[in-house]
Amino acid sequence: MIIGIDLGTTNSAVGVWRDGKVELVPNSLGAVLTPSAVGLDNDGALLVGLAARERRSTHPHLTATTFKRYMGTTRATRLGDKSYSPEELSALVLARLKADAEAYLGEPVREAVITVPAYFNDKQRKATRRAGELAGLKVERLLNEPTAAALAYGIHELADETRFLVFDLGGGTFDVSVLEIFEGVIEVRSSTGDNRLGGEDFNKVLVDRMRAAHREAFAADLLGEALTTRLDAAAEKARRALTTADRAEMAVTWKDQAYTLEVTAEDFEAAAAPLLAKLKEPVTRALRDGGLRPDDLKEIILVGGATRMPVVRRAVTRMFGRFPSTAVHPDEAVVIGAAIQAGLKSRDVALKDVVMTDVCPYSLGVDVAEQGPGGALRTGIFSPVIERNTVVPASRSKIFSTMQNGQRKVLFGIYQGEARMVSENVRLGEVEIPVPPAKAGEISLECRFSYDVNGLIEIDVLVPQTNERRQLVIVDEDDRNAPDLETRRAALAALKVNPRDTDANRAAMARAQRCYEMFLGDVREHVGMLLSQFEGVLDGQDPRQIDAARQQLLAALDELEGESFL
Amino acid sequence: MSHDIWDVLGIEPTRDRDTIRRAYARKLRVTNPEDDAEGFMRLREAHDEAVARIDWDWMWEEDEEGEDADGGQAGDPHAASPTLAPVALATMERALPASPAPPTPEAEELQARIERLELLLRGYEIAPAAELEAAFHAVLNAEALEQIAVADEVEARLSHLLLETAPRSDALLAPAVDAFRWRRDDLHFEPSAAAEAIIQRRDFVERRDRLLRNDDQASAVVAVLQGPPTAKVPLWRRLNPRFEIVMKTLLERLGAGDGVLMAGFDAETVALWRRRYERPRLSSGMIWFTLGAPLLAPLIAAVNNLSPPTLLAVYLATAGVILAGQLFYLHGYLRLKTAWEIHRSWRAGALERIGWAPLSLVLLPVSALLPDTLWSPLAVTGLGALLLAWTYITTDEASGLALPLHQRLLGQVVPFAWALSLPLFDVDVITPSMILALGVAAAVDFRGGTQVIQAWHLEMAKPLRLLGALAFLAAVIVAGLAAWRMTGETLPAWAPLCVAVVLALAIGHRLPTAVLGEQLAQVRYYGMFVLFWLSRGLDVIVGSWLVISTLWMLIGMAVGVILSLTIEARDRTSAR
Ligand SMILES: Nc1ncnc2c1ncn2[C@@H]1O[C@H](COP(=O)(O)OP(=O)(O)OP(=O)(O)O)[C@@H](O)[C@H]1O
Ligand SMILES: [Mg+2]
Repeated sequence: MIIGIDLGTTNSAVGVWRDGKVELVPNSLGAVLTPSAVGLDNDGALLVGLAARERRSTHPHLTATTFKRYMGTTRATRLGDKSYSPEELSALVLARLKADAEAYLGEPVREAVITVPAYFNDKQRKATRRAGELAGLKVERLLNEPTAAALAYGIHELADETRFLVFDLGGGTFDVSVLEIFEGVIEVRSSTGDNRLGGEDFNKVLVDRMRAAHREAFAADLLGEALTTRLDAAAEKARRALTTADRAEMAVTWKDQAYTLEVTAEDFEAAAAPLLAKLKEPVTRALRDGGLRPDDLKEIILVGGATRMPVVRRAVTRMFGRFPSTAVHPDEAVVIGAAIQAGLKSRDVALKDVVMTDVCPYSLGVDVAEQGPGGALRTGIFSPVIERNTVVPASRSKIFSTMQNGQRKVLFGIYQGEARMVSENVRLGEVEIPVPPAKAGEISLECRFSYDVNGLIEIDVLVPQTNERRQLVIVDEDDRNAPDLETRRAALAALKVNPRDTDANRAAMARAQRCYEMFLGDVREHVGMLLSQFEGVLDGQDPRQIDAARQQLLAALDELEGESFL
Repeated sequence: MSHDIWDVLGIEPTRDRDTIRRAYARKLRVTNPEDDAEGFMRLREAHDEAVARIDWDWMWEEDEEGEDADGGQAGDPHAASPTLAPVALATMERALPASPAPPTPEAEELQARIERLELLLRGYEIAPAAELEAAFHAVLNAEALEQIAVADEVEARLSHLLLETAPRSDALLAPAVDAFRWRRDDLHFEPSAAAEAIIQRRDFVERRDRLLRNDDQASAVVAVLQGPPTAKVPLWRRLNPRFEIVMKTLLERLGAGDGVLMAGFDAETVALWRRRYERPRLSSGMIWFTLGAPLLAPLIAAVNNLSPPTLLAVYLATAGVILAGQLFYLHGYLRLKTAWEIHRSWRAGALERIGWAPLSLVLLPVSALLPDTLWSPLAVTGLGALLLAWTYITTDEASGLALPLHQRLLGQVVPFAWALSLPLFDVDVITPSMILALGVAAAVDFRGGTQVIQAWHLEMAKPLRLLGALAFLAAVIVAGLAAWRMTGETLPAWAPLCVAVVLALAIGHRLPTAVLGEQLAQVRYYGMFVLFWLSRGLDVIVGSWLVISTLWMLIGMAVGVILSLTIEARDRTSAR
């Protein structure tokens, strides 16, 4: 059985294709969404999901969140005495989702389709794939998130001939795809985005306002992580409140002092204007690349939790001069699409007639030198071989020639990006090939790029005069020494992770602790009492009693702080 | 392979997009990207090719549907004058009803703002730049513009407006390029004709303004070109080599009277000056050189104790030789091989790339080695003239930006240092090391040039430049004092140190030059040349070459820094 996973910046989810339909897998707390958070519990065990997210503001140094933003980098996060790379943290989340799916399906799961933002570059994709492998999953396919959402939407529209745009603003990434459905084929025409823009950035806007409002009080701790996470949580809460109300109170408790800031919807909209402005360019670019005008689109599909924000909706409405569609569930569309893709991958009969084609959202090419008028040599110019938004799989070649008399070898740097100078693009690797000495320009080289459905790039350079040939499969260092990956997987598997069945209790405890720190005075005492009551029941170890007590605790907390969103 | 695309698609050749798409979709069921990558790629290629051919055929049939959207209106030289405005307003009126958008309040607001901008750009009164920019940004910030379709339309409309109203719209070009994100560094940026023209004009205006900021001659040139052809330009101005260089550069930039760039200039005046400079003529630089270079001859002669009449004769003869050489060249008798001429502007060869700096320095050792007779100064001057003519011909603007900075700096420094340290050695004896040093210098200076200093200078922040110059001045003073304490040529043990000092000076003397910019960089070399000879003459009196050289350096540096300070001060005031 192949599972489909939406590995998000803030939330992740898993689904399967079974009996001709998508089933979303609930986690141990009965929810579809599992927060993408990893934390270290007081007893040294790792917490994954809601429990970890709840502990973020009380234990900022023991909790890791939004690590997807650092995928593909070597940035290490310390939790206790160990440090983890972004892909390891993602692997822990994936392992938890895998366990949820196994519990739900009652059979072991080994393969998965994992979604990535369309605008993830090669490095980020490789890191995601490795994360899957570290979690013990064979990654059958990396699927672009907006494509997944489009699949979730399009599967019901196959009979139609339509064009639509998917606008996916999640917690940390922004993707736009333009699609066309014709004759039952779902075709992505273009994909662009910004892999550093999402709900988290909107939180920062509020955090900055709060900081400005209480400058003196926060002055001493401005850079401290503890305060930042707290402010962040408060901002998140206020921002969500603004989705349904036109004013909200942002409240933090810091050093046993309550600080508040009243934010109105207009304030927020004004403060978020720079971010909202950033939404437009990818949309225009996707339309332009897809060769469509706004009027050609039948629908604008909103995906991703952050599109719930009225300011974002308004921005989209203004962009197109009409209202976007809410035909798909903003949180679930991507995981549904991933599950459908999993079904496609396992050749499910119900999906026999669905064909989907995707594009490669980046240009891929090599660096070249150019001789300008006056003989000046300009180096580091990017010459694309596969243009962005080429339908994949694709294979393209381009002919280059030598620059200097008696040149003995040619070195191609391989790059990905859209800038004219390679220095501003992402470097993927290099290929060196010897050439026979000759006059400048007399030796030609054929450079072929192949890009497969998963985004794996292969480069093949040929010197026709000598039949010399060099190949380069872009792999990361870690891929090259598989045993290393194996040991890392073993190491990760050996970590003590809080078991699924006590997850709910841990999460409830963590939430109560957070509330305890947040409130002051009588309310705090009341929470303290609830907490110790619950701890007492936990000690009794009677599952039924514990369940009941937990429900009670959560209901009491709901009353105190409103519905929990974490 | 291309003709069986129809086989791959399984249809008859067609120009009907739907048929192609449908056939592609049908085939896709069998050869889908997951299972049969190879087959899919072939299918997709066939599909793309077939779709592309739709357009080809269309182009074949409906011949020449002019796509030239921007009308390419040659800007009127007097666009800024009121006479043109009524016509412009008439075009505006025609343009206005072009958008039949439903009149939502936002759309009306936008329309009003665009109209206001048009009025400012085309009205009788010339609006100040700030007001223009405000009106322009008001349009860009209009709420209706958030709609992508509207934004596209407005982009096109504003581009044409800006083009038509150049040069009055010059202040808006850069903001427009920014606002519409016309980025040349983006691979996929495909500018419309209008956008292309605006970018071109923006670049031109930027360059022109930079010239105007740093250079009085440039303002003079621009003023001349904007004025009527009948205006007189004083001779002293025309004789200024800088005036000529700027004029030539500007004429070249203006290209073949291209519409966008010509806006604001008087077409007739431009044509007149172009004709003037196209004829073979003695450039003002050449004239000065002819008059000035022979001055060195009497100097040398003075050192050699010649009588005044002989001096005069030497001067006249040298000038005559130089002039003759130049006239020969101008009238085609001394032409370079055509192949070289072509090379010069495309792929400069090694020889052409050896800049004029080291070549002029070659004179130093050569002259030092010549016997002290009447003919030696003559020979040196003649040689100098030849070399200078050669470098004048072969140094072109773009040469030599290919070597890394440090190499080029080194290349500039080596011959200079060697020449300056020459007095440390016995100048009358030619040693293999001298030849070697020169060879090294020439080789390293391969593709050398002063451009790097200028480029560097332009990029450096002003305070940084000043700081560098001042720090260097201090260093020079220290070095100079140290050198002062050495006595003459009788210090063989100090020789390596001297060389090191001179080297440091040679590297550092560029800093003040960098502050001063191009002009001084040029003058400096003439100055060095003259001063070298002067110091040789003074040698008799002071007795130490090194001291003299150092003294000169000190004076030069001080002058450089003082000048640069005043220039900076002036810049600061004029920037406001
Ligand atoms: N009701 C709401 N109002 C405002 N914002 C919301 C609401 N619900 C969710 N969000 C925001 O949506 C974001 C999370 O969305 P989502 O779960 O789609 O992201 P993700 O899939 O984790 O991230 P990504 O796709 O970028 O990797 C958060 O920033 C959250 O603040
Ligand atoms: Mg998402």
